[in-house]
Amino acid sequence: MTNERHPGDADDPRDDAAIEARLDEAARKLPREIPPGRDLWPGIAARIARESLTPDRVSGGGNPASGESGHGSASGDVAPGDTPASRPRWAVVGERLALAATITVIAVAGWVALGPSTSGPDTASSAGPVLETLDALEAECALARDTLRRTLADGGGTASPEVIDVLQVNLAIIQTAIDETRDALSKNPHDPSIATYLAHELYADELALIRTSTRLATNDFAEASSDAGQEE
Amino acid sequence: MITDTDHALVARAKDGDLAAFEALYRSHAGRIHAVCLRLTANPEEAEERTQDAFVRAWEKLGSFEGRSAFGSWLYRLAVNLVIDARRARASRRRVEVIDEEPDAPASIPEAGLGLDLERAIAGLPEGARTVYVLHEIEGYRHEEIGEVMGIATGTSKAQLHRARTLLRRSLSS
Repeated sequence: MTNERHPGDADDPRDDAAIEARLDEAARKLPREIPPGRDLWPGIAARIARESLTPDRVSGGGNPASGESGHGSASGDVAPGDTPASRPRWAVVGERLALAATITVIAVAGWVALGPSTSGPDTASSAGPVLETLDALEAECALARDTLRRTLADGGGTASPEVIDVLQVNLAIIQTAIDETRDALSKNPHDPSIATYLAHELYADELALIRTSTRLATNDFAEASSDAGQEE
Repeated sequence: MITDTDHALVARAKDGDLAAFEALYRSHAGRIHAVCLRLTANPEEAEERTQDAFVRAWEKLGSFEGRSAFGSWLYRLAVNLVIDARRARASRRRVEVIDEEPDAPASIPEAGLGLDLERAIAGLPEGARTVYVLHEIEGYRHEEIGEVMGIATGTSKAQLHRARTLLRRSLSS
């Protein structure tokens, strides 16, 4: 706190009270709801779909974290000992990112080699909702990419060149996987498995990688470590 | 409040019905985003925290027993997520919340937020802003704020006084 006088400070207690009243009135009138500037649901659905495939990493160490019972932590976040103390955090995060990208590439390669599934009428009809989310997911990825580009253009925070290199390589790998899957989708537009894979795996991976990259670029190591850990 | 509808949607969502959970998102996204935006004063982080809150809510639906309204439970979850993320950052930077210098004016979007007070709140120092938003707008008691922020009740009161002083100046200038 500072005791400096400010031109806005009221000399008269009545003025002070009037300003306080204005302040309270304005606070009461603030809207309780402010819709997000864009639809966040596609990103939420993609994360849920991906995480539900591997529920063992969802439990977050058994912290019930129910807001119902009070203000207990609801986030779980990074488990103690998650990052070996003897190694730099960026190296661990980089390895996780590389692992995630490698898994993605292996999955895409295997899927392309085996070929898409033959779609029957029932499965073809279920592709619609997934296809509807692809454009929204692509837009969300584009927005996240812009944010990362701006961050890197600003000098990438204090992230080392090694970190930036790892990020760029992994993002390029994911983008290649997306391009290949997009190409497969264009050849098999009625195969819901391709669209589902694209939406729930690749775009979700790209979003996670971009956000981890942005946090790394701004030196936000703990959150980046947590995010990268979810890629495993 | 649409608690009855929420109750049915939560029951379906607990059974894995994602469409029901999307309906819950449509109902509550504005409220959750509002508190995330005011607490973070950062539109991009607010959107991320809003997403985090719904993903976490999906994960934790099993622990929601319906003793409180789903909206209240979700709201507490979101506040905790914002505070936890901030606490993690603050501890890394070894900065005491009470001693923080005021942030640069936040880039809260103008659309729909034309009030001077919104901008003034966004420009408050982080700790003062959090206490002001939780106490004056969201109705938290100082004891609750102390618990969720990990600060003493007296610190919460001091931060509120600081926030109101800064807002008074801002609004009267």
